Amino acid sequence: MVEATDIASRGAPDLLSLAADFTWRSGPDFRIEDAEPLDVGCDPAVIQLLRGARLDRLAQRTLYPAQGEAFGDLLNRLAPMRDVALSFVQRDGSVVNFTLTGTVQADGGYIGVGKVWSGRPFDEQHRGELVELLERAEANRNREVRLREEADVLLASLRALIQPSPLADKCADLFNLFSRLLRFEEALVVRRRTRDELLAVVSTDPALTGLKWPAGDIINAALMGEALVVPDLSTLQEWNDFPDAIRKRFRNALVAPITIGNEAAMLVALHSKPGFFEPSQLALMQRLSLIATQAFEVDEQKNVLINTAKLATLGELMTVIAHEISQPLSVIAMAVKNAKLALEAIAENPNAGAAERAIVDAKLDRIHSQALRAGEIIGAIRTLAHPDRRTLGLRPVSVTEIMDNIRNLTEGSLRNRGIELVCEAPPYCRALKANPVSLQQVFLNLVVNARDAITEYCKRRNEPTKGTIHVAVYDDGISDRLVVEVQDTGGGIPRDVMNRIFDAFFTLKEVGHGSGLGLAICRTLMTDMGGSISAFNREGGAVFRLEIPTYVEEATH
Amino acid sequence: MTKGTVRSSGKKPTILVVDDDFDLRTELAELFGRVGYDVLEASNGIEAVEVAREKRPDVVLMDVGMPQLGGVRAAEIMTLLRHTEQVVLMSGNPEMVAEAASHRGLAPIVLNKPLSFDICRRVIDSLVKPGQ
Repeated sequence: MVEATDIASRGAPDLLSLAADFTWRSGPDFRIEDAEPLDVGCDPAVIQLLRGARLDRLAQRTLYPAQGEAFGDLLNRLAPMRDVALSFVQRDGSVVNFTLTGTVQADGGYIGVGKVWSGRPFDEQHRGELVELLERAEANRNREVRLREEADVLLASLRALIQPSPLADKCADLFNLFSRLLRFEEALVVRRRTRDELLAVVSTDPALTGLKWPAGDIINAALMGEALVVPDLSTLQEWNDFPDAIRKRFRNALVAPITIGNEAAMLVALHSKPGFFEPSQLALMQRLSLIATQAFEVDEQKNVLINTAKLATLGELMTVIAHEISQPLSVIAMAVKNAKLALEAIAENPNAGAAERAIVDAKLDRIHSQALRAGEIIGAIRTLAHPDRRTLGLRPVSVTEIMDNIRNLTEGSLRNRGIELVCEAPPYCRALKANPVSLQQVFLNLVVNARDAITEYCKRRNEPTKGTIHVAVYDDGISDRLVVEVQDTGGGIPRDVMNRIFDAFFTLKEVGHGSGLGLAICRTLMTDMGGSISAFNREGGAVFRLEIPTYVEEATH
Repeated sequence: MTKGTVRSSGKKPTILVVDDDFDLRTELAELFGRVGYDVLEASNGIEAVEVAREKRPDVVLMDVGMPQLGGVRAAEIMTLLRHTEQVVLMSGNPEMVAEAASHRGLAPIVLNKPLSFDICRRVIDSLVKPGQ
């Protein structure tokens, strides 16, 4: 050991009060330019390690990361250091430990002393800490990977949730995503169908759909809103009541409650290996059930929206309808009056009989035809307004019939605006496989949109309203689809909104004039029928192109 | 029956019947002819304005929803130019028409469709032959 004065003579720092084993000095670049043992007992390995080494590198390499970081910080701030403990592994596996104390010199370098710590306790303490740190980091990384995967799945399921796809597809997507996390073999949704019957209504395996789920502990727990793991289904009382399809394939179940509408139901994940699911997976399962609940809810809301918008369309059309129906009724009233006056004229002057009688005849004919005209309009409205027929399914539909209906409904309001409706169809046209009400609604929506587009276009150009709506049916007789195009002369769809027109709540009409749902609903209806709808511009107008599956007679069994 | 045709002569009041619906227009024209009016016809607002300028009808009975020029707008023009004394409108949505007309500073009589000829005649008579 050396007295502090020795170092002080070389310009040593004033804080040297420690017994030191070596002295050291670094340049402004932190390279240790000099390291000298002060005691023969000083471990030469330390001196060797220090000579030519850089302090900042040593700070990074020490086995004691927290201390290293603090050391680096001191270096960066050129602050005096005191008893900074550093520790390094040697090639032979042994560990050297030493502490450094030093002060900054005018040139930016350090000068100081150090002490070697013969190291087992130091070393083992560090190793223990290190191992613990490593383990914790590893655990964190695993947890992070798992959380990231969970987040990915949740995000993807939310995306699936807002896709405009049918409920069944949506559930399939969700199940698919969650199987990545839960690793179940099959999953199903069980809900009460009749008073006593619990059925699997949605399932990853079509073979399981419609299976009856027995009453018992599981269903009781789920309906009470409890999530649970059933390690082995065969230990349950109700095991024997399960259908064979389940008993043969599955033993392990993860169950979570789910809400469909206001009704309690349950979500079940199944696996063949008893004890496969862990209680820690319950939280995840519950999250799945929450998202599935949303899926059912969104589905119900979509139906509500469709009906609301249908009502809105009806509301817009009420004006048209009032006009259309009152017109023939007025004619009838007048014709009756005329016929009556003609009859009075005959009574007063029997000589004028023949001419007046011809008038009465003509009036009666006119009354008849006007009554039929009113009847036709009412018929068209009735098919449109009935809310439940959409679910009735697909059947053969004549496209020309639909076109006639639409023509009857809209021609009056179109004529009033100076818009011509031209319908074209080949003389023979195959039947469509569609829902007539849905299809009619789509047609009507497109024609009304075209009407509004033309009106708006002419108004913008300060011209009297004038235009043509062209509805054309194309049947190539070969493909399994028929094409219908509705074209207007309303200037076309601006290019920047072309890809948004089918979005819900997007509208080009003035505020208060469009719900923004019309085309969104058209697309939903077309997709439901297995068809499609697209839009493009042609010759100064917008074209909406429908592709609708043709009806194929099913083979008799 | 062409537009602007004078049905009969004499010192009868003149009515201009305007409707784009041929059936209704001819029935109305025939009826008013029977009850002692000179009847003019027009099938849309523009024709109506032209006929009114030329023939100066005592009263105009006009539909609201018509191509090219609607009834409310035509009524506004005729009233402004004093081509006629009175305009009576017909509509399936009379409230909406009254609303639209009031925006243009008009307060026309609006008859509800489906139309009753008796009411229609009473209104028209009261306008054309006051005090009778």
